[in-house]
Amino acid sequence: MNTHDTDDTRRDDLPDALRWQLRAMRRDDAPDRDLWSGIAERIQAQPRQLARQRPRWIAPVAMAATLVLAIGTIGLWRSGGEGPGSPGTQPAAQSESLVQLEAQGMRRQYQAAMIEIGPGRPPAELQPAFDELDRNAALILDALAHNPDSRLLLEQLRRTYARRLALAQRVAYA
Amino acid sequence: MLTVVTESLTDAPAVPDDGSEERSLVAAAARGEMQAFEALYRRHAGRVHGVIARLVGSHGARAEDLTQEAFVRAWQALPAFRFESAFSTWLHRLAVNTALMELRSRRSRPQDEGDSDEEVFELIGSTDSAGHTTALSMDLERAVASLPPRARAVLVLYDVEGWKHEEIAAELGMAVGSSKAQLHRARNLLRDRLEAHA
Repeated sequence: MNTHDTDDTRRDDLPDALRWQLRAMRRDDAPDRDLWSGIAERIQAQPRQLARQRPRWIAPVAMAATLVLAIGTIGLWRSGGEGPGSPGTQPAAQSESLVQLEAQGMRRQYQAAMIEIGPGRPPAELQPAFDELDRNAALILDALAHNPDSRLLLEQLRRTYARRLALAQRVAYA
Repeated sequence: MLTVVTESLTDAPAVPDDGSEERSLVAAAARGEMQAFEALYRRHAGRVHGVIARLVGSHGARAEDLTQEAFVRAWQALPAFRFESAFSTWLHRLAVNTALMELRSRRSRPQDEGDSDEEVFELIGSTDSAGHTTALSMDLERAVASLPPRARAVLVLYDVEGWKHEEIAAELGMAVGSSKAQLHRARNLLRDRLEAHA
């Protein structure tokens, strides 16, 4: 908790009365409608990752089993020529959620589109916007790794990629 | 960062019955029992919605969508919850994180880069999907809701929720100095708006 205005946030920034009024805003505020049915619907549609429900002791065993499976899969792939995916495509791990798979597909499409648009150098005044969008995409991907079933994050990733592409197109065709 | 943060807020008010009953509900929900999770939702919906609404400016449907998202994320993350902090604290952090994620996403839009006051003024008195106005009952709440998003988030986290600048800066992906500057800006704007309507 902050100790309020002990540093360069000066005490005279805020009158005491206002300070206490602000602190009093910290109270519960129930939503106008019951959100449970929507929550229940979503969590039933997005089963948890099985790996997360396992007790801790299973983790090393599961990791070893995954390694064996991965090595086995690579071996089969190599012996059988090209796998079911396109060349160079990794088979999706079974533990990956649908949202993660969609995010990966989206990322591939985005990268392909960026290659198509070309590596045009943005004007200096637009560079911060490019940087910010790239940073946001990276943050969302990181968040997705921690919350692999979040459709909100997936939607945010889609919007971020769409904006980044639109901006790149604007530069390319200017 | 966007990860679910589990460290405690030392002054986070606990839900009155945050004892053994809550603990067993959390454990049952972590095992996948929906009824237990519904009970947790009933206990904490007001608190979660409250902090989200303050952070996004009490924007009716938007705050409700984010509250729903926060509970879905909590359900997904519960199996990893190790009681290193109170459940209510963990959930509160997760709710803040969910609201700030949305704020960051809005910031990434080119048209939102200026964090313009105009955009935020549009939110005041707007209606939600059910046609209800999101008008706030108190002048102070209205004034806080009218602040630009980043300034509002910093003011709410510092002056209402009692966070430190270091925590705010980490969550919002900004420098500590920027958090202090945003707080200074937010307080000045707040006082101006309160005086203008006095």
